[in-house]
Amino acid sequence: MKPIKISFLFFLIFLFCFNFKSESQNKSDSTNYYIKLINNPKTDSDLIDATLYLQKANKNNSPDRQVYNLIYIARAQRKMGLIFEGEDTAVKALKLLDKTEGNYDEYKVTIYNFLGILYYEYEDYQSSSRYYNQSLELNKNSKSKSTTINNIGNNYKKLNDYKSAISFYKKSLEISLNYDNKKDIARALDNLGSAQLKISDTNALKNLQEALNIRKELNYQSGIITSYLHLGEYYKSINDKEKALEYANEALIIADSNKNKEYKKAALTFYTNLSSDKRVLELNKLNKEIEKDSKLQSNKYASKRYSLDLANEEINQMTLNNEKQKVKTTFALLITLFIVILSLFIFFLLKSRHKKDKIKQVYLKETEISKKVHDELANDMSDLMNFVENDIEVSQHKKSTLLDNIEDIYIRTRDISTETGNIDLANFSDSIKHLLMQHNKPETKVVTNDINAINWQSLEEHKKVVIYRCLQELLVNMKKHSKAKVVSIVFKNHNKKKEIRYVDDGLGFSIDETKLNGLSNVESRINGIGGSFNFTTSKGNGFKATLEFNS
Amino acid sequence: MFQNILIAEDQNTINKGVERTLNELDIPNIVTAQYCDDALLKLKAALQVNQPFNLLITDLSFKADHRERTLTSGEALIKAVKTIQPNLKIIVFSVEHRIGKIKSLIDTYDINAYVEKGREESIELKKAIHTILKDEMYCSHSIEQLLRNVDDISQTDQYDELLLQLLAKGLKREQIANYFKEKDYPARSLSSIEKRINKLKVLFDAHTSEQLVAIAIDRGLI
Repeated sequence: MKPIKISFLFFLIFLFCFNFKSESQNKSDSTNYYIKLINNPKTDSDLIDATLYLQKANKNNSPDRQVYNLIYIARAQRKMGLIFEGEDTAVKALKLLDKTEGNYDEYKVTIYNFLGILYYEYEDYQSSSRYYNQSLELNKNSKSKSTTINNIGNNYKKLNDYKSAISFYKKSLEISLNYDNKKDIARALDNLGSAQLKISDTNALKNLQEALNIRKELNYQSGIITSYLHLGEYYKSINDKEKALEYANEALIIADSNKNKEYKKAALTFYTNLSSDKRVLELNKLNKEIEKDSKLQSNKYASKRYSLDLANEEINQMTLNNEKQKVKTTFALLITLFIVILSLFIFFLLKSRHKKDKIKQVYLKETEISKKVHDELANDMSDLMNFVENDIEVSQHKKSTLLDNIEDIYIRTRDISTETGNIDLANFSDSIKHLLMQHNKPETKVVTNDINAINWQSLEEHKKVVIYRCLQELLVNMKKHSKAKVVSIVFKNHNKKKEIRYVDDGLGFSIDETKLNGLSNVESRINGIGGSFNFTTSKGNGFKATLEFNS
Repeated sequence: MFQNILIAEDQNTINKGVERTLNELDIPNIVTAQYCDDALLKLKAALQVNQPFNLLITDLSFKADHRERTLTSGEALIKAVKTIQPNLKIIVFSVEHRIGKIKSLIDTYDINAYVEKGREESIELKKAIHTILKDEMYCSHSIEQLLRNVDDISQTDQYDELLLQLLAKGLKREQIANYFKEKDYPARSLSSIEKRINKLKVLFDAHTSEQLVAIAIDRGLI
């Protein structure tokens, strides 16, 4: 870390730079502490610590606070000799301000001034002046303008454009006089004089003297040294070596008492420059050249390191972006997968629910019709029979035929009602038992094993309805056609898989010649709950069927 | 003979028919109700004035109409009646033919008669009344047949299945009896085993043990 040497001419610029409003805003104690460290660093590590702290703290800050911290980070970087980083930080702060709503001109003024100083140090005086001008445009505080204008003058002086320099120094002086700022007046006068002496302006001495007087009044030591040196220079320019030496001595005494190495060096350099010894002069010249070279070198090095850092950061950023992209892609993929699975799940859930609802609705409709048939038709038929029996005058023979017919219709009506009637699903094994009983006749034995071999409790209601209806259908079919002597219904439970085997020893039938209406009903019903129905039969060999389903 | 009879039946013509039948029996007081709630009220009122009904003839199914109902079926009415007048004789008079339903009415509510509506209903009603008077239970002919079969329903148990499996493996009756003894199963004596085999033979209409095993396999029992 090699601090860039800062010309004492710019001492005042710092005072000015720290003087902005935001400092009065609320800040945490530690932020304050580190900002103080940046203003007055005791060691190089103070600046590093402060920079790291402010960078870390900045992550959670509001934009204006971020800018505030960035300005200090830039300053710390500049103090550490990281001028390129400092510039970058300052530019970052500017960009952030552009994105932030509200008027932050004061921040901008500060940043432009900072960049002006920075470019002065790069010895890029044109750019420096450009930034100073930008600062001036935004600056509402004419009092502080005098410093900026003075600095522009310095740029012209460095470019050996003394006339322009003089005009800026005069402007600076004018503003300082308006505000009666003694320090600034002295600075303007001193700089004005030092520029005037270069073009042998007769006002030079008067201005330099006046500046010295004011500075002495203020007891402003570094200013006094500068004044002495400029006066020395003046006398040197008019070849009054004696006077020049006198001032050089004065400057040395104060620099000595001040223990400021920079001042002392400046004073000594000037002093030795007055020497008549050619070798001493050569040494000075050489020192100056070496210093310039080393500064150039260090700037070059800093520039290279900075562009290297920038490249590294770019690579890091790219890797990071790649990583991020990868994570994003994986995440998107996972989300998509999740959505697909979820929608499939919902699809099947809805489908199965729809199926269930359908079965339930069919059941409800059936029972509703059953009740209607029962309440209205069957009752009416029974009623009609009684009416015929008792109240109609017909021949006995005809009456009995009529009654037989009506009775037949009545019984069929009742059977429809029975076949579609509601089922006691809570006591399901009893319901099945009753169903079997209904078909147990002296001429047709119904045999079964343990009905509870299947755990009916674990079966959903809509499935129970289906099973009941299937068995009912098989038994009704049997009753109508088979003339079976023994009908067996065997319940088997293989874990989740349930099986009901129906076997009768009836006539059986040939599949092609029989209406399979009832059986296809059984099949479509059991398919509706994801089960299966298989049967084998042939004429004279009974009928065997298996119902399979899952709980 | 019954003096006060209440008929709960929502169809007027049937009401008339029943009334006519009862008139033939010289019943002095016949009251009809078309709603279960009304029937219960009338029963309560009769109890209040100390002239209780002796017999309730009720249908099972009542049509819903504009009137709001508390008791919606004959079964609900019977249940309610049993709480206010437990010893009231009840004849269920219905087209209900499902044996399970009828059996549960008999078992649960101890009804005195079940008369199926139909051609014979007036004769059966009269028979039912006479039977009840003798403190006996009456059921329509067709239902009675079905009820008789109910107890006959043939259910094989796990020991039957085990026995058939052992037979299928070719074990002799003695070996089977020994196996049952080993496992400490009930009815393990040789004669019990014999009896069980014979019962199964009858059940499945088989003449020999071999045929029985074949049938059992065919029917999916083993």
